[in-house]
Amino acid sequence: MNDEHLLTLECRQFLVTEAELLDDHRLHEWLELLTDDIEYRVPRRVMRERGAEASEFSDDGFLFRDDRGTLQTRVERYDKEYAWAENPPSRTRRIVGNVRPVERADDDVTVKNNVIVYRSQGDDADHDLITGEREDVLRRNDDGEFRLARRTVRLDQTVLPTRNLSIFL
Amino acid sequence: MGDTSNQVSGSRDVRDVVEDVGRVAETGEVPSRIHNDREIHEVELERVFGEMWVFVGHVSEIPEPGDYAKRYVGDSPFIFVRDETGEIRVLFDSCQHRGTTVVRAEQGNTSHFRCPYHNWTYKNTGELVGVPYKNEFYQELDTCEHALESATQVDSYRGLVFATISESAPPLEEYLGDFTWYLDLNLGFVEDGFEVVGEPIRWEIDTNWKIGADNFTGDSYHTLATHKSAMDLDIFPPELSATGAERAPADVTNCSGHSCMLAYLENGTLTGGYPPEVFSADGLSADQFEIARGLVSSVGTVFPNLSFLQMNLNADPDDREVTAFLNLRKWQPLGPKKTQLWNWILVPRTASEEFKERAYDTGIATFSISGSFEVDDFAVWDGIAEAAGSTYVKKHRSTSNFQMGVGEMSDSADISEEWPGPGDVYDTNLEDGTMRTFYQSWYRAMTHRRIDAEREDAPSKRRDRRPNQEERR
Ligand code: FES
Ligand SMILES: [Fe+2]
Repeated sequence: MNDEHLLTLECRQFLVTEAELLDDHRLHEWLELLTDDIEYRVPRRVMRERGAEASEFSDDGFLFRDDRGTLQTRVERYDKEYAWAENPPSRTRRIVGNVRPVERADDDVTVKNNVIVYRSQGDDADHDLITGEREDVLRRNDDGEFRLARRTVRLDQTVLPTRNLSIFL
Repeated sequence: MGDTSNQVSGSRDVRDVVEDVGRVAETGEVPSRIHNDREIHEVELERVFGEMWVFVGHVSEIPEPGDYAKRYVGDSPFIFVRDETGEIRVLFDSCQHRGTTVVRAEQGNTSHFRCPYHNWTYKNTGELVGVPYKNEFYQELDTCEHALESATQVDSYRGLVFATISESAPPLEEYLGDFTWYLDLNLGFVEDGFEVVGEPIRWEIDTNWKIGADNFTGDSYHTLATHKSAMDLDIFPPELSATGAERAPADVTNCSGHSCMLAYLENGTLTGGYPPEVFSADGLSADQFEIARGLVSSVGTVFPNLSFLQMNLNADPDDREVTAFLNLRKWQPLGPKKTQLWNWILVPRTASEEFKERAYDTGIATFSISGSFEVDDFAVWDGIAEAAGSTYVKKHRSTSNFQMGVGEMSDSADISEEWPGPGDVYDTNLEDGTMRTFYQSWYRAMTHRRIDAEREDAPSKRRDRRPNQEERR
């Protein structure tokens, strides 16, 4: 196996493990996979004319624009019994695919990947489906292990078909 | 049943239900069924969203000539556009030829709208300027007669643009009435006003539009329960909340048909949420300015579906500071149990970039689709509509309770006399009068009255109303 393949596998392994933690509601362990200076962003997608100058992904509008501290606050809130949005918890299944490292610099690997998040919660058969492309920056720590340093989620939806985002993407 | 009747259209059953809402001021109860009923939803589209002034957008969303955004009045599509002369227009998004919508994007910038069906082309003023093969096959077509139609009335107040598709609606200024005092207070204390950051976040929830609209008139009671986790973590510092001792509370009811709640630190003490330099007393009375400076939290609803909120919150209490922002919210009815939310975060125009960013982040981290406050509201509101649409509710005529402050329920005091602003004002945030006002206005709209009871003597002219389906039957 060449370096390229090895790197792809390593990235894939990180993302799959991360998804498992989120699906299993092990949010404190998930936080440990993030660097202290993580930038976690979900820009608002805007339906624009073909050829419009402005990007479909907003520069100023966001569904999430978090750092380590705000993510930590969110996680601590979900620990509370009164955090109704996640009590009972969402049932989620994240499928991560099309993993492709696109850039390497020093300790950082930029890896694009696609994600499908299935989520259900109610007392019926309905579910929400949220899909998008993620551009992640994985950074090696001193032990050579990957940590998530930056995530940008480019959603496929402009109007979100879900009552809330009390989950991480 | 005649067109001009004050009775609501619809089946007798529905009429009874609506009449029950009309007694909300005395009973403090509304039939639960209004929160999920197909027939009521259809009458609402006609009588509430077809007759009232509905919020379209904020002027700062379309700053340049040609900027446009697709918007809705009830279920009717409109183009919110700044034309090449700089004038703001709200044009019905339906081609004058065969009616398809001419705008397909959510927003953008264009000098012309070209219809995709047969390519009739309109300037951003609405004027029809292009008809393919006109000289051959449409020689007698008078293009002047086929401009995109404007909403029946369009007007703005402090940057908030409203439209109505009703010819008989009173002018906006009259519709907002005395409530402008509170809009001034919420929007007018910063130099140059507020500006929208980014694009409105939109998402769909399985509940009735009225649930959010009533909550945002001032349901401080739920804050203590639904949002307990946010308070426990100091996202909403408890000393600023409804039980905090420092704050002076006021619930504003019956204010020209609109209502709101606010709480403030007295003597103009700053909360720290906004930087001191953004405040400007110009354009406000001394009383308004003093309250605005100390505003801890403030929410309200302009009937029917524009809500506003200003709070001092902290997205990361360990590392950040309490930050204030202005949140505008539109509850667009898509069905009896389906609402599309439109969420705008606004910041003072003259604030530093650093503050604007922090204010926006605080806004989306608390009051938006992922916000630590709102996510819990949505988890609760679905359930109201679920139960409200059930056979049990119909059969047993179940009611929802808005009795806090009715009769001798509590010892809240009417402070309208000494209060500097209009409306019937109470010295607490723990009373339901703000919500009773909302349902009173809903009742009045559904029975074709002006929402402002004091203007009852000036009934609107009711011309050319087409009967709705029930009436035609
Ligand atoms: S429908 Fe618009 S050009 Fe025919
Ligand atoms: Fe709430």
